[in-house]
Amino acid sequence: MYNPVKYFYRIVSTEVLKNRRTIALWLTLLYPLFTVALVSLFLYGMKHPKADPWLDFIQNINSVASFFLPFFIILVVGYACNMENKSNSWKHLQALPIPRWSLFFGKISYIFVLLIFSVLLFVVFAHAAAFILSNISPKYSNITGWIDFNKLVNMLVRTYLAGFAIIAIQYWISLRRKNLVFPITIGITLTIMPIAILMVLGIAGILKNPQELKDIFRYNPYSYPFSDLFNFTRKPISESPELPQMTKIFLVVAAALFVMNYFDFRKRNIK
Amino acid sequence: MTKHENYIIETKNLSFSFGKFKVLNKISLHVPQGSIYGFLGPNGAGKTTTIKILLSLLKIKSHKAYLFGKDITGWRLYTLERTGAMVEMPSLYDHLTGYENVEITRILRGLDKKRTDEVLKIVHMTRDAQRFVRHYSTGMKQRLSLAAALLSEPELLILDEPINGLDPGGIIEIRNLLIKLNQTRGITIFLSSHILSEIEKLCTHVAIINKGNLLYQGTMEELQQKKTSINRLNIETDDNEKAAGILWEKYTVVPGENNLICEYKAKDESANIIRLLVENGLAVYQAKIEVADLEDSFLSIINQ
Repeated sequence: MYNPVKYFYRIVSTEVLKNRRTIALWLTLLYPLFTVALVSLFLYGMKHPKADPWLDFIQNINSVASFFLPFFIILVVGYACNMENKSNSWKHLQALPIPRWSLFFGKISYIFVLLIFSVLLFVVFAHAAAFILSNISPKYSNITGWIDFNKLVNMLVRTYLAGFAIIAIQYWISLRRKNLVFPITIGITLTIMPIAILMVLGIAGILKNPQELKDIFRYNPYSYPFSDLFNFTRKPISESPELPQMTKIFLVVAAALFVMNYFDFRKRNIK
Repeated sequence: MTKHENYIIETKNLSFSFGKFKVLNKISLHVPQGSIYGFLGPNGAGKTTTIKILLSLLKIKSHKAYLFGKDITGWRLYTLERTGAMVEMPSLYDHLTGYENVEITRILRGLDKKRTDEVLKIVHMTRDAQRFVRHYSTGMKQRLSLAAALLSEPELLILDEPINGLDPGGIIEIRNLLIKLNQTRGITIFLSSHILSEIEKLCTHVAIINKGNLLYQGTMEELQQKKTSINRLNIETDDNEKAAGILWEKYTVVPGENNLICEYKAKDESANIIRLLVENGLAVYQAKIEVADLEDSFLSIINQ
């Protein structure tokens, strides 16, 4: 009997097995670890911590995480898909008695599992780092209060939601192109392009106020997650009471891209 | 029983194009159950394309290809459930062990865990199962892919160039394994190859394809008979020119430098040819029957 849950479970199980010892899995560990370590060092070196240092700590974690998020997504999606291209296994998988939709949604689900796992690691590492800081640095040992767990998760989830369009675009490109270099080059170019424009115009003296370029950061899905870092007038994406309009738009764009990508995947011949 | 169930694979005027380039032209295959069916043709003949169609990797119109009597366009899961396949080069994850690679297929097929050990044993890979695939030889990779294809105890094995890149020892091993699977488990094997000698040693049935056209299809015996329909006698006499003149009227004669080749049909004709030469006063130094092999048949068929 046709059981969609059974097929989906099988695919995700094999994705877990396939991703043993892979770069995608290591990145999932290293991205939060590196981010938290960087912010911790920054806090450790601060001469005068803010009144609520733990709030400052998680805000900084979120800011640094938002900057690296596009790179993380580009690499994780690229490596997760390239595994099939490199081993030439799309043919093998599609010649097995499993529905095509399960292959498509199984892999993207596993990518989401990695993203969720990275959020959990952020929380774990943030708590561990706060614990270490409060024990080794007198500046933090006498402070009452602790990391606001809900606030940290809430901020990170909002930042991740801002990156959904990147996941959708990179997933499509990575499924379409056999070469890993192509999706990574496209993704990284689009991510750093606004920063490069900002720097070039700034050095050339054309740009008087960085605020003039804030829209490039906001409307480019690749730089949107860290667009707050270049926009000092607005309330950050991760702290506004409800999801910002632009995040909602990018979520709709991402959903539309996933649907189109799926139909493209389904009708495609495996050459 | 529907009319398509007489054959385990059946295609009906199957055509396929990549854009404007026609790869297959009205192919009608009939693969009987229990056979080892060799799909023979030079590189680029359309063998892999046919296999990809049978495995639903390439899309075709309905009512063109049937597996187990079912139209593959509407019965993809049903037909693939009963089929084990290996397409082109082995599709294996280098960063995983041989065991883990087979496990992936086992999990996707929803089979019992013990099947992994069983198929590894069948292909003699138990000892190397815990090694990383990146350290495997081509032959080991082929055997591991075969293990994955055998997991579900399929009724049909579809193998694309299974002996490609193997050394002679590996070829013999795979050949013996396939014959054993066919004879002991009754698995129908459909395999493509461009290595004629292997098809000859392995297959019960053969189809020859060239430039997308099916040129021949039948049992191996029929092909053997076809190839013996023209025999050649390599003759050397004291006067080859005179000998050619004598034989010219009744036979096709191809003069060589120090010999001549005389082509004839019935086997007993060779004695008549020699007698005719001797009766005409010629000394026959040498008369050697040149056995036509599958290569001759293959070449004559694809050059038709």
